[in-house]
Amino acid sequence: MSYLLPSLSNKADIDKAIRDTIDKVLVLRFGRATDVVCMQLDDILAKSARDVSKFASIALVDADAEAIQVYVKYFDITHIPATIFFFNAHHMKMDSGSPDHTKWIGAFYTKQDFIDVVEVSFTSS
Amino acid sequence: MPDKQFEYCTVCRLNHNRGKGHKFSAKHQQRLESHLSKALSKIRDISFFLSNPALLRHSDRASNSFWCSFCDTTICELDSTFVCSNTIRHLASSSHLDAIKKFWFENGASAEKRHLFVVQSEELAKWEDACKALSTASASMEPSHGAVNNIPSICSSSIATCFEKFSAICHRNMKISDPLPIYKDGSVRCNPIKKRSLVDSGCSTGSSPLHFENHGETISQIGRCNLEQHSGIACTSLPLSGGSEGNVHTCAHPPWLQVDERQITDAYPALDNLNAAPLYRKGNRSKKPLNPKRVGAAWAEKRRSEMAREAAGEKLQKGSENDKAWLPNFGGVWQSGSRRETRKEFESERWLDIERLKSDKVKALQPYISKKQRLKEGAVGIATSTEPHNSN
Repeated sequence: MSYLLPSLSNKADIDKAIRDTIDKVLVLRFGRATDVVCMQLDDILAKSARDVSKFASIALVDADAEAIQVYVKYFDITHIPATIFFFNAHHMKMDSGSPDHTKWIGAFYTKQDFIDVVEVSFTSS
Repeated sequence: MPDKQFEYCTVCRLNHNRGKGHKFSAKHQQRLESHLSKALSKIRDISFFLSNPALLRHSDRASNSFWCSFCDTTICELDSTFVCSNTIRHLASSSHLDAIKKFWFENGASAEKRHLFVVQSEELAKWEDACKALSTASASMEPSHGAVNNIPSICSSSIATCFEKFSAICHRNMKISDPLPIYKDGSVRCNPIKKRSLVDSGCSTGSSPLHFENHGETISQIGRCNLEQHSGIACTSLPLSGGSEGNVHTCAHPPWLQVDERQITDAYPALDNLNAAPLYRKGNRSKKPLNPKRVGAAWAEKRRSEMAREAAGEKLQKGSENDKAWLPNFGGVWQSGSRRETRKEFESERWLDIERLKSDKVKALQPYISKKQRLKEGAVGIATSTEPHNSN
């Protein structure tokens, strides 16, 4: 499913994506294209990309790529898939009931769950 | 005409006493046609899975059921591994064939179409072979797929086990009821996450010392949990090099603000090739004015102007945005000071707003001038302005 969404493979791409996504929520999925839960999440992201395209952009990041380990380390990504939200180059934190407010770990049950999260992130920012 | 016994026609949904003559009536034939076409479309949908067997997700099992109008039964897929497996077996069963024959006899449908509503035994055998092949392939390729399907049950039990293990340690050392953020010390990190709306979550394996951070206090304990194998979440190891930069938890300087100019220029061609949904909003701002107090509004304006200058070919100063004010100023208790100070500040601001509103209202007050008077004044004005011309 990862081929349906833009993939960022090096730090410069991620930097550019975060810095140049203006007045829209940027959703970055850190994961692995071959992982089962990542596939499940990618499916949901790909299906919702068009629906949220007016207020959000979605991109995938390979957590195993050497070039982006600085981001993996900065966001303390130890479990994949980890979904991180940005708005105007600001990292958006969210209280999803888990102790870690910096990222969303795992897939979403449905497409609507993801859309709701992005919508809340956009409206509250 | 002798009175015949009343019968119920399931196709027409009415009681009649016309006996066997009813099934030859035009209305009955018409309704029978629509009934059969509906049933046939449903069976054609299922025949897709007969030729292309697929694994059924655990979450979809409850919503996957089939109503057989010939047998008057609902076939549920709660215990099936493949999509429509129970339905396919039902359509191939002898009881369904008998029901079809009975329906055809009672309603007078054409016998030529009867085979379309039944799954043949050869088709069933082929489907079963394909299912076996699929199950062996999925078992060999994705051993954790079964675990993913059983996430709701497994996750709750595994999380509970994890919490039990940690609560025993936590109770001895700190007065907390809920597990708090746990940060790693070394290369392994344990992060028990409550399962509410997440699909699943888990803990990494390891026997390294784990740090329980509670309002500034750090308590080191040795914990061990093996939830990774039960949950579908995979773990990654953090890079070991460069441990002094800090991370998002320590409010370290974010990497996207530490940008090398050469890297940015190199990144352009790679990103221009993205042909999926547009990743960036290129200048087409919405007509609705944006909230000036939105997060990063200043950044957005600054960056937009920078991008415009970049597009014009100007070279930006390296690290121009790399200042200390990159964090948004939320004000109040989020920034500094106590709640009392925040309240004072808020009340003073509100007072100022009220004062400003009052002053605006005072300025706006004007005596009422009627329309007639205004017209008269206007006419006088015009007359006075035209007088010099007339005199000339």
